[in-house]
Amino acid sequence: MTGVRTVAGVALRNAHVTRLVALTLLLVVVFSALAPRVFPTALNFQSIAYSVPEIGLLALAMALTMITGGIDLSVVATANLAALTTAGLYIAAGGETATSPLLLVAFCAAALLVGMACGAVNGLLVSRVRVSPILATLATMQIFNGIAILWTDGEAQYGFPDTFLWLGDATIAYVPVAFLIFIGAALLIWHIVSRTGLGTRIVLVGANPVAARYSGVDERGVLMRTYLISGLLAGIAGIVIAAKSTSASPDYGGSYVLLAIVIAVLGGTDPFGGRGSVAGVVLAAIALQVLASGFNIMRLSPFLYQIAQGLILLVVMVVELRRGRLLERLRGLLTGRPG
Amino acid sequence: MRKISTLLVAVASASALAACGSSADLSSDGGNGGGNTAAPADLRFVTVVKLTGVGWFNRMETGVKEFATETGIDATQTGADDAGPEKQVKIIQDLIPQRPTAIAVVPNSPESLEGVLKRARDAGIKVVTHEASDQKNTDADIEAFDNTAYGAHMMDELAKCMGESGKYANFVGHLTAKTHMEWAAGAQARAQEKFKGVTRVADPIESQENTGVAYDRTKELLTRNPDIKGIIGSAATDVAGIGRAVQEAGLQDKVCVMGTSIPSVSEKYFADGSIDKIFFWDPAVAGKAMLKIARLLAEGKQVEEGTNLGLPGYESLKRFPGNATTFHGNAWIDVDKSNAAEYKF
Amino acid sequence: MRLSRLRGENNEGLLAGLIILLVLMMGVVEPGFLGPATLTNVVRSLLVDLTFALGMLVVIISGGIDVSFTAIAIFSGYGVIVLMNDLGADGTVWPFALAALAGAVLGGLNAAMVAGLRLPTLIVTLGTQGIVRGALIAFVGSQYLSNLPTGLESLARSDLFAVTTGGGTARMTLLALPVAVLCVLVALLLRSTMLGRSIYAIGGDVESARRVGIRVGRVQTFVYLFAGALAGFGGLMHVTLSRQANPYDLVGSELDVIAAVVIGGASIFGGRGSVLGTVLGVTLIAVINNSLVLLGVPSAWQRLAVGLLVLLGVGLQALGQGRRKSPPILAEVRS
Repeated sequence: MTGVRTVAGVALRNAHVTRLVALTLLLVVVFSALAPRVFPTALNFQSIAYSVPEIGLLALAMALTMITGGIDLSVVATANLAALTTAGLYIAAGGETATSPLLLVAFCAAALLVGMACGAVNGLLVSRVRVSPILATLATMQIFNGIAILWTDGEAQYGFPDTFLWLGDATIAYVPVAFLIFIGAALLIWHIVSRTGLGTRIVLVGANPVAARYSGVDERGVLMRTYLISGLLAGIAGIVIAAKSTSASPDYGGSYVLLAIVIAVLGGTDPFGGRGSVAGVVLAAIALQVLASGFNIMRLSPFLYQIAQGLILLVVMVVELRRGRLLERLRGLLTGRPG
Repeated sequence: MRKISTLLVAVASASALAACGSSADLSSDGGNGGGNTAAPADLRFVTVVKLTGVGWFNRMETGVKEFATETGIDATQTGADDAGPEKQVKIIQDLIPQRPTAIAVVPNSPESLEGVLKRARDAGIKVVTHEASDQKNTDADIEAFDNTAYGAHMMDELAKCMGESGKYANFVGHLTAKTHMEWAAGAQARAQEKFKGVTRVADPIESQENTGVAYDRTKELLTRNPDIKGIIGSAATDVAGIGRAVQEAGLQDKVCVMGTSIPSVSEKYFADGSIDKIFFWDPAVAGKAMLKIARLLAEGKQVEEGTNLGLPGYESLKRFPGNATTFHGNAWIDVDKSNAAEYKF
Repeated sequence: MRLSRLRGENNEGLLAGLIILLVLMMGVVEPGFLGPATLTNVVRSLLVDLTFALGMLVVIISGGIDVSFTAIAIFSGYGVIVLMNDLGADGTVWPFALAALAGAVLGGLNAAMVAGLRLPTLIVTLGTQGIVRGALIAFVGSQYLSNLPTGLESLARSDLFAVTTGGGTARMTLLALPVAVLCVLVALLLRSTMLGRSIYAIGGDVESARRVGIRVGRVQTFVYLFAGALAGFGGLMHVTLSRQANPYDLVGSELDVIAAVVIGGASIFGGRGSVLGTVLGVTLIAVINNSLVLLGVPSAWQRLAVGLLVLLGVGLQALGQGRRKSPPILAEVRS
């Protein structure tokens, strides 16, 4: 009895997350009805689960920086650099024969370090040089991408051993390992944001940077750490991308930047800063991949999906951020009084 | 406590979605794969192209639809709205649960698709590729021609136009576009072997698949090498940009412009000789070739050296040396102002 | 004293110096570079970007950013061509007016979100970019049109003037004229009108501007409509100059324009920027891009170079501003 009440209470208090769960279930129901032989099958859900981790991780990175009122447009370029790092190291170590688990750990660690290094560059630019995050990460996106292209002569890199590819291909109880990695990372970020002092400070810096500064919060340190974590998440995304595609390429994932932002916003992150929900981002990532799969299965034009993505972004922002103001304006329009 | 409950609800729903449904579906029993001769109406082929909506692949779709009408097989084409690898990966990933008999792919980035194509093949789906001579996870790759021979053919024509001497330059879409680079290498090898008077002024130049870039780079080329006599383009819109630059510089008669393109893009420059000749292969025929091979594979047959697909240029397939699954035909088409009207795409 | 005046409010002098230096260096490497052909080539290649940059300048001065302009541009440009083909119409001036109008209408979507609902500009324009581009290809058309209406084709080949030297004929395109006029108009708008001053004020601090009595909503609406109109105009210019209409063009090249404006001294924190700086920024990037073949440098360096330039530009700006902004009480708290 008490259990039911608690769940209901949780659901009511986290209205946004509940809405997302409802949205996802609605999408599943609708597409299952439209494509009953294909959509509601284990293989399909597993397929969707394969495609969630890489964009989900990138969206988490994006959301974290957005909570501080900034943004990180370089997440995809960072992920590609991390992926290329593992590729380069594996190729140097012998390619498909380098199956030692020790190498696996070492090379993944290297990828994470590269991700954090990129994050550090962003962090320095935003916290010390005080460049606007939009411009800083727009520039670093180009720079990281340029470095990746020059490093590889623009070619995708092959040559991973099975031990590494296991990360992208294997399933445990029908759930892809990569998806489990994603959930693990999400739990880690959730812990940081909700349970640590750093998390509180991250939210505070985003919500009211002036107050934060005057309260003695080390804004620079917080921002630096935020971008470091964002880089780390991008590094994990890079590992997942490499393992899933069995290759690393400097140009992969160009469309993911916008998608990550859409997922972050849909997941309840306020782009002005100060608010965000890890659970929301996870659910939003799943919801949008369900939507994309549904579109693919229904053979709808990809341009319709592009429009849908843009609409979702705008509609969610209006509903989440400006519901009050929108209603005011509508009331003003209807009653003839200024809104 | 509250937050943990919320997160657990989220994770639970997510995992449920990932793992639910009858586990029996996950076996690799494709239902349609294997060596049985299924009736045409039971077969389903899906062609996944690089980018949907552009002239080249619209033409390929014509071929796919013709194939569907001729054979009664459910053959359709799909593609993403940009040429990024990740969208193609997702499309193929989403096709797997639909269990088509075969997927015919023209990859944007063959390497990026290896993972998902492997999963497709594991699920019993036959995979045929085009413009991906190094693809590992494919049952058969078909090329319209041997890229090196094609490059050599272009050089034969260019050298003839240039009077077998002078400087030339070669554009490619991207330095990473393997096919384009092979054409360029083939052309250069031919020049070095047979037309010693023809020299290349620089390494292949990137047009970034953008006609404006090709135009700008050509203008710089003309400034830097005023005595250049030939320019080859690789991406379909390259020659349009190159021809435009040559036309504006008034050098139509002095510079030979040739390259891979389609008539609708280049024909307006044939009239005054800004573009001298274009080469291509008919994407509709290539699309049909992929599907015919898919049908052979679905029927349990093999593709061999000498297989005849019954399509112009694909009457006797040759295998690439060193690669058991890559085949090519001999299907290039030369078009200049004398026969441009025959091709309506 | 006079030297620092030469440097300019937004480092315009530095930029000009850098451009001259680069041009001279190119001249040393490749003597053929220093000729009228280079001038006309460079000008022609930067006209479209300059038009976009003028719109972006106004947006950035107002404290926002717009990444939807490329989608608006190609929608307007391609759309006008499709319309002209469908109607069998021809013309040289009215299509541009129509394209600008279409651009303004599309820009209205941005205006509604930013001015009306006060949503963050980057994300709003990301959303509209997706919607506009998707709508273009899904509903207007996806075909590559290689033949334009006669009026526009001949416009593309019309010259303002031509100079014939030993190496060939250098032609200055007629379309350089309207763009030059636009530059002057925008400069006048920004410097000499109340509206212009309001744009700077909003960029500096929205709240203060509001309290001084500036109608922030209206000014912002103007900014995004104006940017949309310029984008539409630029889009048709792109189509005309390249003598083909490809709906897949333009989108993806936003950074070059943003970089040019930022390098030209405009600050995204708002309140700073000039037309001269923007022109110089666009010229610098065009000179760099145009010289790649000359130096035989792989174009991958181009992405790197533009990114580094942006960082350099904003970094210098930010460091300059940072020194001024710290209130004394924080120094106490920190020490």
